[in-house]
Amino acid sequence: MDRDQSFFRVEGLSKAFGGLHAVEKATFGVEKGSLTSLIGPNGAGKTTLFDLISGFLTADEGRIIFKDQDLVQRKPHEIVGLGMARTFQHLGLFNQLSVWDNVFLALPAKRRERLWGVFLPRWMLRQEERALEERSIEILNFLGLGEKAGEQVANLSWGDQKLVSVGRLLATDGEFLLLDEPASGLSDEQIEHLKSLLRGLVSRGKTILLIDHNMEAVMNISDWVIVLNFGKIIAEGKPAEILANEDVVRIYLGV
Amino acid sequence: MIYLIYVISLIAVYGILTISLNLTVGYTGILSVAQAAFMGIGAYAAAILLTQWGFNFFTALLVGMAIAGLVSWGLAWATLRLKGDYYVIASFGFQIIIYNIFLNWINLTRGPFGIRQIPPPEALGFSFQGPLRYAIFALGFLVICLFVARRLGESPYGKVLRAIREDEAAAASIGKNVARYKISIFTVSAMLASVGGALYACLITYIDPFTFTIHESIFILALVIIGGSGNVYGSVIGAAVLISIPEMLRFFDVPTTVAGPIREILYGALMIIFLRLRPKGLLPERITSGVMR
Repeated sequence: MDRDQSFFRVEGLSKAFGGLHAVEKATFGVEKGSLTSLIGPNGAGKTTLFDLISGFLTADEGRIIFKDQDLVQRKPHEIVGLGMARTFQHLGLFNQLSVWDNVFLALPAKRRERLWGVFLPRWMLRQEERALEERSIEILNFLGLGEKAGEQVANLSWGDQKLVSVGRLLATDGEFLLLDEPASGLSDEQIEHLKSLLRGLVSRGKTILLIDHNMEAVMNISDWVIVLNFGKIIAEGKPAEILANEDVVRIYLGV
Repeated sequence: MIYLIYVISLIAVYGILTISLNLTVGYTGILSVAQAAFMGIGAYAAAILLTQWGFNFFTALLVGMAIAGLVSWGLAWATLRLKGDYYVIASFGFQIIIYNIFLNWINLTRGPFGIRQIPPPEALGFSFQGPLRYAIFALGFLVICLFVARRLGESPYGKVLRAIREDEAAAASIGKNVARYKISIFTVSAMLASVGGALYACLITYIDPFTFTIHESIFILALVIIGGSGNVYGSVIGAAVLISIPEMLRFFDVPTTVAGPIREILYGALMIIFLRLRPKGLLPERITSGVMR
């Protein structure tokens, strides 16, 4: 089936750590406005692939094309500037800061965060601040975190911390969002909320690539599924096709 | 009384040095043992320009800040991509290099002979000579440094620094240029340390390389930890406590050969006690949360 992969594609991407080939000649694409899931057993190379795409690791070979630009050799903050952002499996929240600060800090770079901005009079930054505050409020309300804005992140439940990580992701204003195991550790109810949240984001025009082990959730919300095993892509297709793929069922699902 | 005023000046000087290191260690989480090197750059710039070139104190101060800023920018650019322990070792290496420059560039620094008779600062024909005038002068600088450091810490820029301290990768993942932030705060920190150094030189009126050693850097680090990492007021409290307590030894009948080691033991013991029992220091960090308006 033909899919438009001009928005984002990976071509022949490889990464080895010593003798271990974490990712080997991975080639795939993501359609704009879709939700694509990357699945595979533990150690398949999924997070390494995320790290390569988001600039936290440099590929040994291959290309990562996003909006017609090669991302290999680009630094993480430059990639965010191009419109791609990610979450981490460990969340990586700023635990000593408040929910508000976690989201507010992720809003696109602004004058007030520069060193020289420290000594500018407040009135010069007021207009910029108002726009940023409105955006923060919008994101927090969208996630249902409005009431907890002033709380220190370290004091929140795991589920709420996950939401903060999504909020931070949204605040970057990225159009391509990478989520690393967003459903792990969540209750069934929270997973349902997450699923509708992610589909809601796609309907708002975001493109999502996610990693998760929750097969029910993945198959339920994905438009496209890519299966990785020992660093190699072994299958890709629509959820129903992946569920019917004997190799995938044998290798990954273990049945 | 004169001695007490002298101690107040010394507290002001070390308060500035501690605040300067708190910007990197406390706000940003960059552990550095090179602060005495930047202090020394400021001190030598002031001493040389005041005694040999006839500069005005404020011009000498600015020159010292510029040199410290440039050197620290270069050091930061070259080393701040190193992480944790590796950066500490790099800063240690830098400290040794600068110390050896002070010691061996005899034409400029007079090496182990040091520079004597450093004059007091003057401004608009007014001399800050004498303990009281100098204490007021140094306290004035302390207040300015406190204002600058507090403003930095409470600003959005300061929030980004704290985000970097908590998780560098996460900060990069939200689009922050971590290297640029680290380089900029490291440069500001070195420039403030050079101010402390210049004030130190004029207070003591004599400097030699043996003041600006790794011991001094670790002493300033102890002040940061004991005062409260990330709290600039804690830095002043830390300096006040650790400068004044050992100075009290002078009032007891303790020979100077014994007082020195006792002081060192006291610093070490206090550092261990604080790290064990009160790791956040005398005045723990307080982060003001952003508010929705």
